[in-house]
Amino acid sequence: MPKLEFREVGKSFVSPDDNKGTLTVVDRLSLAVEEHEFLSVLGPSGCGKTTLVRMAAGLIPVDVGEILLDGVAVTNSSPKVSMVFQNIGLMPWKTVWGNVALGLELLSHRSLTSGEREEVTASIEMVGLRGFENYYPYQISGGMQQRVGLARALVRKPTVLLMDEPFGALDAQTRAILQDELLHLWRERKCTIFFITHDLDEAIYLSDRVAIVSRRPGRIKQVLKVGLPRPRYAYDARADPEFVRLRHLAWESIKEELSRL
Amino acid sequence: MTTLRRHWSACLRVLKESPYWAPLTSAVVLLMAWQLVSMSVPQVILPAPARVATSFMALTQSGELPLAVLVTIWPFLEGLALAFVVGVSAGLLLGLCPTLARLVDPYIFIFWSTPNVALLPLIIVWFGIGHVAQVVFVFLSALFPLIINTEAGVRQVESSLVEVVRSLGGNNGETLRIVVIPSTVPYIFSGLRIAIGRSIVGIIIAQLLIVATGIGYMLQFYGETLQLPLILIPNLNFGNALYLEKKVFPSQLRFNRGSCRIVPFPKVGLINLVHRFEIRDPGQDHVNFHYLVQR
Repeated sequence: MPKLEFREVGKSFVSPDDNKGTLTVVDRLSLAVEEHEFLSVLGPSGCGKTTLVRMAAGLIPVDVGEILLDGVAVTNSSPKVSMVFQNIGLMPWKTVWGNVALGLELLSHRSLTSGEREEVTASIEMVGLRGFENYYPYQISGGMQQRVGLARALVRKPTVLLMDEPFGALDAQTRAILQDELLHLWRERKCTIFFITHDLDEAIYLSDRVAIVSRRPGRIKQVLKVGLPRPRYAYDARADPEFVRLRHLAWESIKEELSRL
Repeated sequence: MTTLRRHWSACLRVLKESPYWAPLTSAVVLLMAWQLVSMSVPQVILPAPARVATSFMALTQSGELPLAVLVTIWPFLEGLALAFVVGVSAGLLLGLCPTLARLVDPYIFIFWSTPNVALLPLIIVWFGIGHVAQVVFVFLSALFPLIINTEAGVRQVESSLVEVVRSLGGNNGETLRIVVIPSTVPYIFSGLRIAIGRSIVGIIIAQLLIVATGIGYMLQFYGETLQLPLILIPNLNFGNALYLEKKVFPSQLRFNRGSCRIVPFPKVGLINLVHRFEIRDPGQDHVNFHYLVQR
């Protein structure tokens, strides 16, 4: 049984112009993410990637079809699932510690026990922010802020991690570092990662499989299996001929979508 | 010459680095201007600062001023506290419930733009001319800025933060506690600042027109007996209150940095001063300075 499964999922939004009716963003999309798999969804801008992950997180309902988590339909946010957002979404009035603690507070709906407080501290250490517990978000860099977002998600010990272009707003070096750290954490935690991106290299470098989504209405166009050996941060995976081949395939596929207006 | 200039620029630098240089400078300039003007006009038009200070001491020692302040502050605080609780709750409710807001908002704006004085007859009929009427008047003065600001605050809450709390499993109460209220606090405080200013005006009007007591009564009494130095005192006192109000909210001061922070004269005091002149002689509808100077 797949860990996370999209079955003929469709979603439309009411368009702002009344006479145009609805805008179909995702159309009968099917996709299965296996347990412990790292799957990336790659697609051009506006193909419904974000809608897809928000539905999986239970933030918005599906119109047709269903999304199954461990075989059960997703209707609301689940304690087994954590989401990492592109705009991070840290509370500006809470410190790093307070923001990470939020992940557990909203899981248990009460104030933290001493054991949970230790878990929060451990989670902050895990993402390399030891010593920054009392800093406020505006006092740390964008990369560090996304580490906090990651710590807030991981402190819940999720079995599925949903990531919506988490590194999209970061500079190239910071992104590369965080990608490696993410792979490292994924290896340690053994969770399933559903990763949304528009970055070809990122998708191929990180994933076991890359699902390419067509332009709106979004459907799975092609699924590429990435056969690169792991751990990929141990060698320069981006220079591997297999990487170059996959990148070419993915680019051809995306280019076709981009020209289809 | 150069030494003098160097000393001078050193002095200026020290002044500029001190957080008090702006309010101090403007206070000194204001006092000097006041003194200069009062020297060139008769005392009855504008008493000198020193005379006002003497009157202030006399009124304080006699106990009249402290008592008046006490009698004024109490209904002021009661009305303001009530308005805070009701206004913030109503603002949160209206901000969170768009349908309710569509139903109620027009009336809030109608009441907000109605001069409270227009409601005086109703207040007197409903609540009499005692303590309660004063509290109600202050309450009405303070209520609407609090509702409107809180409501606007709730509307601007970042939806992405709400979504984060939802995705982490937060329910409605937690969303309110963790996101909505903290991000509305600056708006509530700016509403409170406006409410405090309006409440001060409100309590003075109430004590002038409903209950003859406290600072309002002092203004009326000394105004009608034309004891100008004494009139300025209650006004200045409220100026101080406004200054304190600024001190209470340092977050607001941060935005104001760079602008002057002199002790502000409340408008009601000045209007009141002119107003007193005007109603002295019912036969005349403008200020007759000659008449005053001759006396």
